[in-house]
Amino acid sequence: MTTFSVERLSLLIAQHTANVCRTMLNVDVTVAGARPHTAGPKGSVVSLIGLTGRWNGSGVVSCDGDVARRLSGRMLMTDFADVNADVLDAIGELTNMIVGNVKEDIARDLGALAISTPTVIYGEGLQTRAVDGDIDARVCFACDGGVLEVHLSLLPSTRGPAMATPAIVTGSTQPITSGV
Amino acid sequence: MTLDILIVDDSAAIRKILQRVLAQTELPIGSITEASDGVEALKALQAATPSLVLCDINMPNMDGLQLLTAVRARPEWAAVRFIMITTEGSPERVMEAVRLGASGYVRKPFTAEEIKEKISSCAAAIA
Repeated sequence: MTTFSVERLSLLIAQHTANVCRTMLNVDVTVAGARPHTAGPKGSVVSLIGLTGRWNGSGVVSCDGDVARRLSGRMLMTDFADVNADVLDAIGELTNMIVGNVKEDIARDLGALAISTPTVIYGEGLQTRAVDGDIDARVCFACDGGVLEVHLSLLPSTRGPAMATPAIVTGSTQPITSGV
Repeated sequence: MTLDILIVDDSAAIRKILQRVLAQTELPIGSITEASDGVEALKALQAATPSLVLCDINMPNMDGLQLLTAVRARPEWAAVRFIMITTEGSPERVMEAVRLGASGYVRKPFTAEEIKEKISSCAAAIA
């Protein structure tokens, strides 16, 4: 059994999400409690990263399309009228930074972990489902006029450090316009 | 002497941000080319050898440390400097990158000033 707690994971998610948003987007985010984002008129963006090691699991960052558009615009100093490939790429990179930095901290307690490259999905009615982790934390942030949700779920590996525990996404995806 | 730079990152967003940072420096930047993974980077290196590579670690196909190993195995690329820009910040990963021959290491998220400072140090060493 690990002594690593959900509270500690929630705190690390809060710290690293705030740091990434401040450094890369010049925006302050605040923890908004249990306020999962609801899809706006531009659908939802869900970004997933797998974690493997002695513990396996996934990290998921999600927000509605308008929030994704605004955050990406801040990151790239560009206005995005729609959710396009550049927006999805930017949200994937934010996910990589948030989950990657949390991973570095939790690895001190849980052993070395590797992360996958992000997969980003855009669509309507998207719902994610991760395997109930022994360590499972979901933190919602008030962010740039909307909600950004970060969810990490980890289970001890029983078959060696080979497989990530996938998060499952259901819903209808939307075509995107090509990026630059 | 101008600095020819190769940016290697699977994120187009990061490549764009680094291009913007480079445009803000007062360093004598020559050419800037981009690659989205280690395999593409090797092709770019064969086409034209840069003086500096700004390189992510966690990438598909060939990661940044594999690229660094491949470059260090080629004597004609011995002078190419590498700055790793990555979320992989554990002491073990940093030590591995240094052992393989990286000149600098910047942890994501980064500020423009951190990148400029590392590039300036490399430029001074190259000059």
